[in-house]
Amino acid sequence: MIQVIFKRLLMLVPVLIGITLIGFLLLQVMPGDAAERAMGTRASAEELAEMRRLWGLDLPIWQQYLLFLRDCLTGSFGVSIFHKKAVITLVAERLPFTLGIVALSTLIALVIALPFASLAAVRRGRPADHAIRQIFVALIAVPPFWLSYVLILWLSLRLGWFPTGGVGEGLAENLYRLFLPSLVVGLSTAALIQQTLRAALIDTMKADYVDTARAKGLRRHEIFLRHVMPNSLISTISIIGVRVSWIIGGTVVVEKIFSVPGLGSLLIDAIVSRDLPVIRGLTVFFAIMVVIVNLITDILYALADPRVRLE
Amino acid sequence: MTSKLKFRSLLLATAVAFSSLAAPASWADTLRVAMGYDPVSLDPIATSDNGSIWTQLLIYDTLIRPDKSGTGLEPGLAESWTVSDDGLTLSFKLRDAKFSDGSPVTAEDVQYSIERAGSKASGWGRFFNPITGFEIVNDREIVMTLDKPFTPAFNNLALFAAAILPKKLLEEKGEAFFDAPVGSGPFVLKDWTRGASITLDKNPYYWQAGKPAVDGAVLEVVTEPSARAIKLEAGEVDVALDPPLNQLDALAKETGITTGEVIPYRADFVLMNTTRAPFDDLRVRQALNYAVDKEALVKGVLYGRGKPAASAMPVMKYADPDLAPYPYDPAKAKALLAEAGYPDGFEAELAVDSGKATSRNAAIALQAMLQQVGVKLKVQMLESGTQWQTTKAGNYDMAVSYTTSDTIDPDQIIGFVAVNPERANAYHTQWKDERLNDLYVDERKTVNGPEREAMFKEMVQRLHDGAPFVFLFHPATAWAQRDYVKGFEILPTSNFRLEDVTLDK
Amino acid sequence: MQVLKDLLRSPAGALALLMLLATLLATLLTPLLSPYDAFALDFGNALQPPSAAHWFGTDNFGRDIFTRVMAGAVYDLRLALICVFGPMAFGVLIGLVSGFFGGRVDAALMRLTDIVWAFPFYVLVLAIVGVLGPSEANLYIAFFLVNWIGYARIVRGETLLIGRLEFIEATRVLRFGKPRIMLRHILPNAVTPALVYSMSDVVLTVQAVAALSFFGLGVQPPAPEWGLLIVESIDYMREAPWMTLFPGLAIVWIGIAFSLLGEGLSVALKPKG
Repeated sequence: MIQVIFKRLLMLVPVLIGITLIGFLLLQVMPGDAAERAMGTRASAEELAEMRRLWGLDLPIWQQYLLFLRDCLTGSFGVSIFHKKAVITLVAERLPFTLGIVALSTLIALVIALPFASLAAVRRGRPADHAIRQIFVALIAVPPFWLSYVLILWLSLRLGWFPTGGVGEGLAENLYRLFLPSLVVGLSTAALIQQTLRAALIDTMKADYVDTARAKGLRRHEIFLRHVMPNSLISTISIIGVRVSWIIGGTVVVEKIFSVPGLGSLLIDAIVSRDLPVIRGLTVFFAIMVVIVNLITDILYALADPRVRLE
Repeated sequence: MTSKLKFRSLLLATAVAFSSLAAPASWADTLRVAMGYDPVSLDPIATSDNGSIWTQLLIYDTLIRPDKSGTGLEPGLAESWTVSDDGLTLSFKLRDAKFSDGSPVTAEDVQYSIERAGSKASGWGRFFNPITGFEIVNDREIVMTLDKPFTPAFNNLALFAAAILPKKLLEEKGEAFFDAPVGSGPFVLKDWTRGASITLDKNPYYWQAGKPAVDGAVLEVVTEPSARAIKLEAGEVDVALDPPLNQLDALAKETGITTGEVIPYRADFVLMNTTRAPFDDLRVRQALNYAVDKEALVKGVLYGRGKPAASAMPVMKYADPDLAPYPYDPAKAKALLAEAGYPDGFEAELAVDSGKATSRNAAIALQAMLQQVGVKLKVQMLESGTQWQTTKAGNYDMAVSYTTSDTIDPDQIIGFVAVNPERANAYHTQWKDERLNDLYVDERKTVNGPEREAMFKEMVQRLHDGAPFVFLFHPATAWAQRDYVKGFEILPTSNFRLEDVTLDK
Repeated sequence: MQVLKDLLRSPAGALALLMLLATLLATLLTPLLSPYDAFALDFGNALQPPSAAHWFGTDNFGRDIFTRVMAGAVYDLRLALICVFGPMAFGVLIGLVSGFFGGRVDAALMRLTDIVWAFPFYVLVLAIVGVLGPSEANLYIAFFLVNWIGYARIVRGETLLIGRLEFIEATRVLRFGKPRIMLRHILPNAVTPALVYSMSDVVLTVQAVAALSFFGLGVQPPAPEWGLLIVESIDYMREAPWMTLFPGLAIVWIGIAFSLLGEGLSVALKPKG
């Protein structure tokens, strides 16, 4: 097992290099120029050239790539043109908020989906199952920006239960402020989890070892909680793992509406302002995160299900 | 199942418990403003975005500043001044002012700051480098000289980029100075959480006695217009800048909320690429101007907040109040098109900055309007950076855009939209008018007065007649605020002053 | 077309086909149902609530919302087809091959998917759209390049699982040809989770396009794509809630239709015996 994990980690290296290469090249073809964005539309040619020189944008491409690679290895991931800070510093400042939304939303999603998935699986084929499924589909379908405003108007403005956005200090206040945006993201994730989990539950419930357990005299509840649920959760996790990149992307809209200074809004702002170092650095950072999450997911999957071998 | 139920009730209880936090903590005497932009930097010579400019104007001072009407200048750090008749000598007498660390503002600081603003490293160099000589008479008197006449020089000293910074501190700390900037403005930066908010404390040494009346201010960065309006209604901010125009009436009707608006130095228009047919034909360009119902645009896109534009120049000093916009005359438009050889109209692409709601809506309205005279437009939403590149490279047919002036001197804008060759070549239309170019050279050498005014009038007239743009409108800038906020307004230069604001709670 | 018959036999499948058919008909018959042009402005009639003259009301430009919503169906159905089912077909194939053959082929393909999948979707889309220009076609390219990977991974996982099951071992012993094993025995089982995934993918894709519209990168105005309709109407949410309501309901309608389709398909595609 350790050997396999080590091999997988080794295989990460070419993947990461591939990521940095693609990320770097991709951005070379983006029109628009950071110097002009920073200086505004009225700067003269000499002023722009000077700015480009200061930021190294006029070096040959391979040199820029090597500098970028060096930045990744030293951990800074580049220096933002606009914020004038290392990308990693910006990430460190904003990661907690995005992570907070991702974590809180996944938690909310599980809390909502679990009972309904179980209900649907147990009452499979009956009206309850169909109704639950369609309600959750409707939940995914509801556009997040619309839902965000509806929640703000209702829960913040009219009822005053939550602030309309922003972030605060300390864990408690942030959890409180991030609740609404997490709820929005969580509702669509819940729908996804519900479907997958229900399918997994149904499949697992049919498995041989469940019949064996029943024959042995274990009660339904026990079978469900001790065997069916955990196994189904694992296959669901692998599907959620696939979606992590999506969930992170899904926070972008929510971060904008609730004014959360997270990674999502950092990315969009960087794209709009052509802050190349941030786009590059953030891309690589995201990519590394996703690759690590995938690896962990695969390992968990293999650990849980001995039938699957990692390689 | 029970454990799940327990968990959820725990969650609910926690939420309810936290709801007590929904009411903001005591914010007595701190003004909270929701604005749509996050500043990029607090270095006056390195920025040109609204978020940065507005914040800098709260922290720093300039020698002179635009007065509230926007047409004249009033004393800032300079108590009085004289401008020589030939415009080559500017003398300033500084008032007794201090920076926020208690040190006095001296002529040395002024020289240092203006030199810095005119240097090669400055994005605004060309506005200040005509000032070639400085003479420090004493701590509070300075004389600036130009070796060639450049009339806008004086007005440009009211630009935010001419902020007076403390020489000693800046030389000591270098770039790090801007992490904790020291200025002589009404506020001091206390905290800046990027993407979230800027917290300002009152400057105890501010030169206007008794001001600012508030103890501090918080500028919250809220990029969504609707979200800003909602924050105001929820009581989380006291002022919301730029709420969605269509919501202004509803906001004004709410108890406790008032709205305000002002028409700033801004003009919206559509660029036409005069190097491409059919835009190289004057008749076509004029036809398009006749085909647009500007009144309808102001009503439908701006909800009445603004006025039709006769020109690409904002309504500012030396604007011609008698210049009438092209009237809405689709018959004439069709006739002109037919004359130019396009009786059935033509097809073209219209580029729009996707991030600006006003431009987007205008584009959609324009598309429908021009359709009526046979001109079929395909709307191309571009993201801001891309649009600038595209028009600069000349890869476009038409593009919706606008211009704003940061100074009260129209020299900045006319050079940008009407002069070719210049830094933007008639704002990328490549339209050229020799007479206008000559006038431009002249006006910069002419002192302010009726002669210069006549020059501008002629330039604006020629721009109007040559029509490299489809002139649209001058949109108003609006804000909504709580009734207890007194003394808040937005100036024509689009920024706002907070030193006069009081909270009558 | 046994599948179709099986589909119709299940209530879910039948309902789904009915809903999709109704949508298609409504779209095609719009010129008969509505006298309005989806793009004509009428400032005088702006922001009218639903009435006999305007079934869904009008928007801030005075355009009839019913006509626009019907016209928008075309965009979203097209999006569903190209951005979901296309990538699905491709991804399922890749996943099947990868999981079945294992070894170097699998490793290489998985590394490739790792690399591309790791990129935040928006960065990829922006780069592509930035190079090629924002348009529907380029949107499809961007989605295609990214969306197939999810399916590939799921199907590969399932293939790995199923491949080890006894009855597959049996087919190996019986020397069934590899393509036959893949297609006849593994695929029908492996594809079911992919189908489940795709049904939610349709709606998520419509959402993603709407989010891109939020940033100006999706379908371009004045196209009446449902997500875009909602994005453009956010500022009018309180003044004219019908502007966001009807496109939203349309998305929910399509979402439910595809979800029912998914249910019906998973029943209809079940391997017999």
